Amino acid sequence: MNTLLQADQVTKRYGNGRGVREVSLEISRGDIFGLIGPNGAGKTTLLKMLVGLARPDSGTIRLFGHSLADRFERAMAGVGCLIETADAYEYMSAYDNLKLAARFYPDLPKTRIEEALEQVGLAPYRKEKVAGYSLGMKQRLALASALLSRPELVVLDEPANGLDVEGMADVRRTVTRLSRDQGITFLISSHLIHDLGMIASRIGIMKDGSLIRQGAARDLLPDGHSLEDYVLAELRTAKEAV
Amino acid sequence: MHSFYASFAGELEKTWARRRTKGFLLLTVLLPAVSALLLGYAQDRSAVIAGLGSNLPLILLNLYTFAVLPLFMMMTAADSFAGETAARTMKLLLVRPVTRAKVFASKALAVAAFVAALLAALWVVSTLAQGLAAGFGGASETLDDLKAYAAAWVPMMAIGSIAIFMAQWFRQSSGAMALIILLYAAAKLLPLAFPQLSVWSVFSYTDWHLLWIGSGAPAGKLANTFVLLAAYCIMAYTAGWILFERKEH
Repeated sequence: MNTLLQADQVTKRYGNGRGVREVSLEISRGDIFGLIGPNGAGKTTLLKMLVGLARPDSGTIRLFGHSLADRFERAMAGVGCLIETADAYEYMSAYDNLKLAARFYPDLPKTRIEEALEQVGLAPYRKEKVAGYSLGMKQRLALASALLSRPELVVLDEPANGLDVEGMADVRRTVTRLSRDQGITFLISSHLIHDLGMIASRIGIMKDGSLIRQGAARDLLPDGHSLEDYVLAELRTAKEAV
Repeated sequence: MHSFYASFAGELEKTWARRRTKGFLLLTVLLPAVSALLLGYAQDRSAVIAGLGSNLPLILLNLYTFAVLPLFMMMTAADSFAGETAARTMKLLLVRPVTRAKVFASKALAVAAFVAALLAALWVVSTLAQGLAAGFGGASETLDDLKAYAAAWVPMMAIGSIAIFMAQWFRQSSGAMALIILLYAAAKLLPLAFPQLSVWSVFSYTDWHLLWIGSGAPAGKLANTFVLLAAYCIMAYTAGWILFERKEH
């Protein structure tokens, strides 16, 4: 199966009028899909719906060919995610936090928890309670949790939050390496356009709840234009059209 | 079913990791032990025994079903649902390959399991304490106590289900805890003014275990009360589950 995620006419309206309007999206195996948009554009709402944290008012979502509404366990079996904030059970250690998550994947080898902690540089602190972690360490733990099950599709919402420059570069390197070496597919939402521009193979731009543009990065970006210039121009055009 | 077991094991581990749970277990072990020490060192044992009553396991069970276990369930339900929503850790569970129905069931079952564990610990320690301080009773007395302890679990489940249902309305565990405790206190006090309420209030059956001692109450009365408690359990569980399914994180 080549299409891992398929959202069709997904709509969600909140009481304040914000939300997501008729978004259709397809993510294929091997993509690094960068979702970009200003604050309040609906990126997090869309991602929450794509992983079952919020329910769409209308539209359908399929993951790995399974309907998220009807076959949730099958749909989510190959998905790892970090949504909105990097949270963990603060009264437990990093190792125990990952152990809780690992139980849901019976085929996962026992060494995988240590491996995931090594991968994000938290192995030396694995027995410490998360309450004592810095924001950056929590973000790394959340990333380890998202990657723990060796998912085929990883959904990351603002994965660089709380990370310093070195941490942000680490995330970029990790994403690129996992995509290249293991063929993992990524859907990443970020306000850091420059960061996303360095790794995304496909781009979607959201504004006021709508996905106003999507396509392969190389097709969307005219020669010599940065992603930042392109996104700002698209957002300006959308504003003028209104 | 694997996802359910994974979720249930996780809930047990999280509940155990909370200091509060260990505190309740410590209290459950210490209270009978302290009572036994008092019995052992008191010069006039008979007076102390008379003061405490002749059946320590039963007296402690009365105290536990009236106050300690409801308080434990209210706190655990509030932590497990509203607390996890406030800490934003609920979503860590909800994005795993497990349905919300199973997450809800595993959380409810974890509360039930810890109540059963506390009851079991209390029975063992209080029976030992009573035996060491004042001599072990006969087999029939021990069996009576055991029946009472097993029966006490049923009304606790009904109250626990209501606590879980109420916890769904909150996004902070402190708010949930405060309201549930307030409701419990009101439910305990109101029948004093309106005695007819006690027939229908689930909170009036915390001493249901007393009906199981000795020759006990008629089977019909036990069955009626059981059906009433089970009905409360089913209604509160179902309503709580529906709210949990609809909640967004």
